[in-house]
Amino acid sequence: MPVKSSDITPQALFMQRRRMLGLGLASLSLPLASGLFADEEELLDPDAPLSLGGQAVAVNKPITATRLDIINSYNNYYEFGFGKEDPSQAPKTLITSPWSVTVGGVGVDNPGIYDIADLHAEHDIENRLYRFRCVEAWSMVVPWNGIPLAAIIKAAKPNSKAKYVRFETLYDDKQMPNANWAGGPYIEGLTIAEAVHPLTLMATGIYDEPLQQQTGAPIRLVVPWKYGFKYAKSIVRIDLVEEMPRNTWWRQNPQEYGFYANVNPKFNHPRWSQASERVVGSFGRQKTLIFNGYADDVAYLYPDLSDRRYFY
Amino acid sequence: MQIKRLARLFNVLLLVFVVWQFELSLKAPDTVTELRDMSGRMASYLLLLSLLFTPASHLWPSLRVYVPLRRYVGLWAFTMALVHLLVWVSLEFNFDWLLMWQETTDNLFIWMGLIALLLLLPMALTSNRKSSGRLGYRRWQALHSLTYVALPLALGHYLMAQKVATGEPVVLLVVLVLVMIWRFKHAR
Ligand code: HEM
Repeated sequence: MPVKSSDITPQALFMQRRRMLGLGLASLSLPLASGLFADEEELLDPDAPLSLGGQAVAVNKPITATRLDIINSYNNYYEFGFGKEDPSQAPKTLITSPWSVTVGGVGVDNPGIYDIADLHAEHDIENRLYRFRCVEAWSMVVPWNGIPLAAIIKAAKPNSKAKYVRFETLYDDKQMPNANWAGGPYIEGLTIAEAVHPLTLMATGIYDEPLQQQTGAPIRLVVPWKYGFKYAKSIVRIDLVEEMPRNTWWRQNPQEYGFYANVNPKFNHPRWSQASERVVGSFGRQKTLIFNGYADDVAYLYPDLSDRRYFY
Repeated sequence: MQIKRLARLFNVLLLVFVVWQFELSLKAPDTVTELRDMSGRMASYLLLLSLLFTPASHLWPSLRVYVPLRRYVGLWAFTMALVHLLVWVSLEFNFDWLLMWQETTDNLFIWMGLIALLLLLPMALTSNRKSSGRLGYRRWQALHSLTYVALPLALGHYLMAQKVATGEPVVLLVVLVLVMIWRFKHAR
């Protein structure tokens, strides 16, 4: 049956409770608060403009968390197959415990190998309700649990050589049936400013449940103002480097994908429009927002909004 | 009589298949996308199937008796293409004509689909025997060779609509090209 908002009771209740608990937490971080809760009223008002260089964008729907079963069954994770439902239906071959993440590169003075359990013990797990916008023009709203990447980077003591952050996904054909689809491990990258931005998260859970194989267990990147392919999954390495990393999709198809991949409804994909998006599990389409609705928090990172490089 | 019964069987089987596909779509995480893609794929396969009747009955003359079934194949193809369009207009765009227009101007592949569907319309309307009588067989045949324009457009649309290239539309295109080469050689 079609998904009605009344169907999501368990998670809706969950979110309500989260909201109460979260309000206090959220107020700690202003940019975060604007992404999470503070804009609720503005979001409900269809005429509320999101100010950005004089251009007004109507927000047409309130932000409601997508049902967990949908989040867990509609995925792009090519290492487990190309279809949307392949990753959730694939045998559970990914070994997520033990799991360690290596933090290194020329840009850090304190490199280290961290066990997932240590990361959990050392850092506070935060809850973030974020819009998720795929480059394929569909979207969800995901209640992530995770560690701000800034905290992990800070612990590694970055030096002046840290210009970019390079992320590497596990590359193992014993654990991933389609590991070699891109001829090597999945690589993603951010500028250091993007990486330490308070919205950027290393997620370890959704709805307070650990990430599943298909959602990038046990730890993945979340950058809510960028297209979903930036959110590298099942990360084993984080390197702070001097050179801009050549991320997998940029390498695969440089005509269609680049490094920044910030969401922008005005810059179309060569083969399809980015003006609107389907919210998975619901009817209709909604307008896509510049920087996926996080313009107030991140637009300052990109001085020239007419520069196409930032938006694919 | 025999062929009529076969046609009825074909219609029933297709109806069951479509109902089953609808069931599957309702269970999919994104029902709307699934309905849209399922109907589009069915239309493509059926259109291609409709083109196989002529070469097949030339290669195996005993199959000639089944040619009247082609009408139902074509009509089902048109119906599924129409369902595809209606899902797009209603469930996907919620009758937001402005947004639809915006998406269409930005998407070449949508234009290709629309033109393909428009080309199928006169064929669907003249698919009955009376029409072929009224038009004269030659003119009717000429009109129905529009499929050779509609299907390449539809398959191009299929190929471009895909976010990840799968082999499916390529296989369909290869079969189409083979049929068209055959037709070209055997054109009368
Ligand atoms: C004879 C006519 C048509 C045929 C045979 C056809 C066939 C298809 C096929 C096979 C797909 C891909 C399904 C998949 O990826 O599994 C598709 C996708 C699509 N078609 Fe059509 N189509 C036709 C006409 C139209 C029309 C008239 C429209 C809209 C006005 C349309 C809109 C779309 C859209 C929006 C998609 C999905 C693109 C996406 O994945 O985002 N099609 N079509």
